[in-house]
Amino acid sequence: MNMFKRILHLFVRQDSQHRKEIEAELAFHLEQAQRDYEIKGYSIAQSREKAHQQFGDVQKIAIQCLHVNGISPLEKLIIVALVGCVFIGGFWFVSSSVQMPWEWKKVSPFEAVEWKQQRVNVSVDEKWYKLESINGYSLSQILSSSKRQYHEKWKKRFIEDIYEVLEGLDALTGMVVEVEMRTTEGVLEKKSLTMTTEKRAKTWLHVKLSEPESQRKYPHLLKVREYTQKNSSKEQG
Amino acid sequence: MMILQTLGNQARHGYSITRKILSESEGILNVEEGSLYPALHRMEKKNLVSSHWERSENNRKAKFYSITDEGRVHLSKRKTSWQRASAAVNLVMSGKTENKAS
Repeated sequence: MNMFKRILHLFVRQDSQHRKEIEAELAFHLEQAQRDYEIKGYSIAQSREKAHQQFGDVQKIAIQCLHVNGISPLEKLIIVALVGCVFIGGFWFVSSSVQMPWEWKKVSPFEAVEWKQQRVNVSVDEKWYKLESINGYSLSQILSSSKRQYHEKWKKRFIEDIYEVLEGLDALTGMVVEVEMRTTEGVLEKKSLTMTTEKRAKTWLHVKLSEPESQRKYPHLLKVREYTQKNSSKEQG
Repeated sequence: MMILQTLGNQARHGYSITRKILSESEGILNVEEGSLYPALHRMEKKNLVSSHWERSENNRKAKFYSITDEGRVHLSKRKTSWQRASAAVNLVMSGKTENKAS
């Protein structure tokens, strides 16, 4: 932003300096011409008028001179457009390659989370499991922590912001978590799962798709996703 | 070309250049004086003339132009081509070539 201001300042300063010089130069010419007419016997008003008549359109000529010396409006436009492209491109590059501070916590180790009475089912690699523990903390410990931190929003936070819930419990050592889960057959499985934004997005979508249609916040978007999901499952079938 | 010619011997401000052209052309080339300035600025950009600010004969600050070495070379080339072109036009207008052919 500072750099942008400096470029703008450069343009304005350059323009104003040139403008002043050109104005002084043209004013000198008109004064000389007027003086010569006065010497010839014309009145001051007549001399001024004649000098201007002989000179032509002062404003037009000043603008022409300004364009010769300085940066033309088209060149300015191109420079501004280029600077804009560099800024937008730079921002896009940084934002696409680096996770923003408000984004990096929006991660999840699961692709979907469902609440079944007192049980929490999680989807990993498109397979459903009953969640037992994360990083050695039992499910009940994690849920209690979520309740303490988020009160009435504890369920929503647990599903959508599990990173922050685990962080509040001091249960995180990195982006990989050790998860104990039980298969539908009751077999206990231990998996190392990486928390990613993609998984979290899937979790969010699963929650939204599970909501009754009347309560959906983004009905059109979700309908499109629903449609594409149905189609892809039909194709797979 | 005429502007460069007037600057051949001494530095001049814009008004002085117009007076010089007017007097040298015996009052015939009495054009809009303002059009001189964009031309001067273009020539300065092309490094055919250089400029500096100094006090004029009536003690007013004025922008004076001088011809550069590059300007002199340019003037010499333009003069040659102008002389050839004007000689050719003169020949055509005088009708001498027509008389010879017939």
